Amino acid sequence: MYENFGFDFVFKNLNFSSPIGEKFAQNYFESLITNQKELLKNFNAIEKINLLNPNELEKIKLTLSHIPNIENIINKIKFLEILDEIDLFEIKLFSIFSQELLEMLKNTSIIDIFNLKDLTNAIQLLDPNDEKVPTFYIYDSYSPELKKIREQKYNCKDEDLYLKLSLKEKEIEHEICKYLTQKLTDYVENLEHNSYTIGFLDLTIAKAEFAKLYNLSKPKINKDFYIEHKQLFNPEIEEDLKKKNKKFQRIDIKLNNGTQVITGANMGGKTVLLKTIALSQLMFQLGFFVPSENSNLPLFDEIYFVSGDYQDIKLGLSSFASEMIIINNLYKKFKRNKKLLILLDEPARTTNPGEGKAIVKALVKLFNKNNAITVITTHYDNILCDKIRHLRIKGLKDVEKIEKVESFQDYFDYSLEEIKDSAVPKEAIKILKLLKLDNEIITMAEEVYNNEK
Amino acid sequence: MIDKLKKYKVISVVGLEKNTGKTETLNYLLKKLCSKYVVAVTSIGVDGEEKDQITFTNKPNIILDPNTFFVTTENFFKRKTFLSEIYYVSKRKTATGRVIIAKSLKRGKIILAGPSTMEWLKKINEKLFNLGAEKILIDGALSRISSASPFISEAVVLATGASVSLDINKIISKTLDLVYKMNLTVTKFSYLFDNSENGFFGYNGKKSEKIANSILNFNDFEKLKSYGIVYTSGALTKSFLSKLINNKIKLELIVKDFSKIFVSKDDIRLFETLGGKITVLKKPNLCLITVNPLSPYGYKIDDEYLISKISEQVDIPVINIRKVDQNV
Repeated sequence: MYENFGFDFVFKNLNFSSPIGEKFAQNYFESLITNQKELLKNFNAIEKINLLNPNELEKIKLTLSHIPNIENIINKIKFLEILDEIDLFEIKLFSIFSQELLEMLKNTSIIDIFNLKDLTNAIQLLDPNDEKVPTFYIYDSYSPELKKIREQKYNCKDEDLYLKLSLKEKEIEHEICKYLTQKLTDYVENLEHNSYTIGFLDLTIAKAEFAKLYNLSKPKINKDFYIEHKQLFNPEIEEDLKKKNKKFQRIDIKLNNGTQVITGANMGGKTVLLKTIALSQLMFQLGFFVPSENSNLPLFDEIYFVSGDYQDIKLGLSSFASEMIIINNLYKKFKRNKKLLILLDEPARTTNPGEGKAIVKALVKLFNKNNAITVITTHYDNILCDKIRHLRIKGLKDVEKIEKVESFQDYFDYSLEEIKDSAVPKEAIKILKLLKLDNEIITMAEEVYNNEK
Repeated sequence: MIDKLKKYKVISVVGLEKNTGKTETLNYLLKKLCSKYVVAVTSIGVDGEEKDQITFTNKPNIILDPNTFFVTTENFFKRKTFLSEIYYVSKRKTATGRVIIAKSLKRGKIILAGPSTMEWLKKINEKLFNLGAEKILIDGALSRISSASPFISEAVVLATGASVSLDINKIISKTLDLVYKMNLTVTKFSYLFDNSENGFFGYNGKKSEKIANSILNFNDFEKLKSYGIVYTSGALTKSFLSKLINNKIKLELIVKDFSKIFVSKDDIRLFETLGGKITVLKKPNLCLITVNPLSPYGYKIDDEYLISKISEQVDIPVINIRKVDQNV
């Protein structure tokens, strides 16, 4: 659902220490956090982890890296499916390192957030000889009978007897597995609690490191339903530009409830802006810090970013039809009073401008209600009216000075200004010149445009 | 004989063909080494099936003494009948389940199975050393001579024998062919090329550059005349070497190691007579050749003749694995 937000980049750059962390994150990212308390818990945890001493953090990560994912085994215990030797080994390994982690966290400020339960009893059960090593087998000490059978078996020379004793040994071992599984039901709640807590810890460490690496900021939460970013940036695009020795121009923006229309030249970063608003809101509601200097954000039930060419080949729909169906679906949710962030990137651009303009105008008006923040970018003229906010990307300065299209970005001002008139910037022909198109095309376009005016 | 293996930590056992007694060789080495060292035994791919999957002949099991580390996969681990202690379970899976490292607590038979790639095998070996293993024996599975690559193993034991051919002279020539390739000279010029990168590279006296992604389908032999030394990270094929010979190209051709060479000793010699040279980045330490005089179909060859003929050409021990085994 959020595939065009650029969240892949974030996920790819999260470094998990344990397989539990990665699995936990995949589940955790399935839905937006809409509960303020849960979000604050996330932000608080990230802050505290960033305050840990680096050596301490490395030790915690090292311990995490030893912990196996026991999700399937927990389910087996719950359904009383008998665990085998390998399962029991993994439970023991989990318990030992979970306990080690608990001892480590006890001396830190994060113990109240990541409150691991004591698993000493489970460890004792699986370490009957008190050897304190992370290995396992069905120990003789579980049953005197087993001990006796094994002694006989490994001392016998007769092959038939050896086989018989092997069978008997297997039988007793199975009984012991059954007993141990039964016993572990007493600790399954704590195992599950710790598995969740370890996953949350690993994810939070990954988030904290990501926040440090990309200089993200802790957002504030508002109930007045507005979005405000100071110096918003897109970490992925900023990094790409850096590699090319270019700078990402960070943007200040405030969005109110109701509709706002953003206009600006082609190549003016409208799509990037919407995408970045979508990404930062998604990150926020998945408990991340956000890519800005300072942000104040509300909680939405859902976030929509509708952009680009949707072409549903299976249904045989054109990009126009696919886009309209998506907008229709979100409009249904909007009518049901869901709190939505709606970001429409040049809707109806692929149809004829006459009707396209009418459709956009309708959307602007219909979405202008209090339960949503709607942003629509467009090139169409005259869709603005009194009640609708109009933001414009400042755009090109000194077109004449630009020599190469590659240096175009250096002359572009991506910042926004709120304007009162309803005119849309006319920069398309300027850009044709910049792209060094055949002169005939440019002259003809200018002629036609001036005549129609 | 075992003294020769003393200084090596990772030893690979490879068979020239199926049923050349590789498993017996492994058992023999295990028996010899286990009394002196903490030994771990692993493999690449599945091996040690009770029945040979191709010829349906009986194969001996790998026999472990107590306190030997072994690597196998979940499915085979569950079938074992002796007591062993689990040390490690991998996250990744093979076709027969996760990879398990365990230590035998009693004597028993095991079917070895292992990680499915060379990189993974390297990681498992690191784990084994961390757990306290002092020697690692790798059972190279069918057509997996690659585990003998000097980039994985420090030493190699080669098993050969009657199953290679009915004709004793063929067995000798095939064995010596491989030994020849294992003994190719190590290049003095490895520093000229970035060995971590894949491709076909050339050095023109000033600098080295990438000529092509691979030698497969490479045809611009005129261009090659400007290089004195070339390096290929991939396989050296017969067709490529023939083209070099036909185009009268004289250069030093560096190959990663012997396991990448798919041409015969005679081809290499012809190339060298014409002024060329084939070298390797790394050379395996071939320590021992074992001979199995029995073919899986029941006939037997003259092992003493075979051993004496091979011994003439190599200065390492050549032994009849069956005779030695009886003496132990």
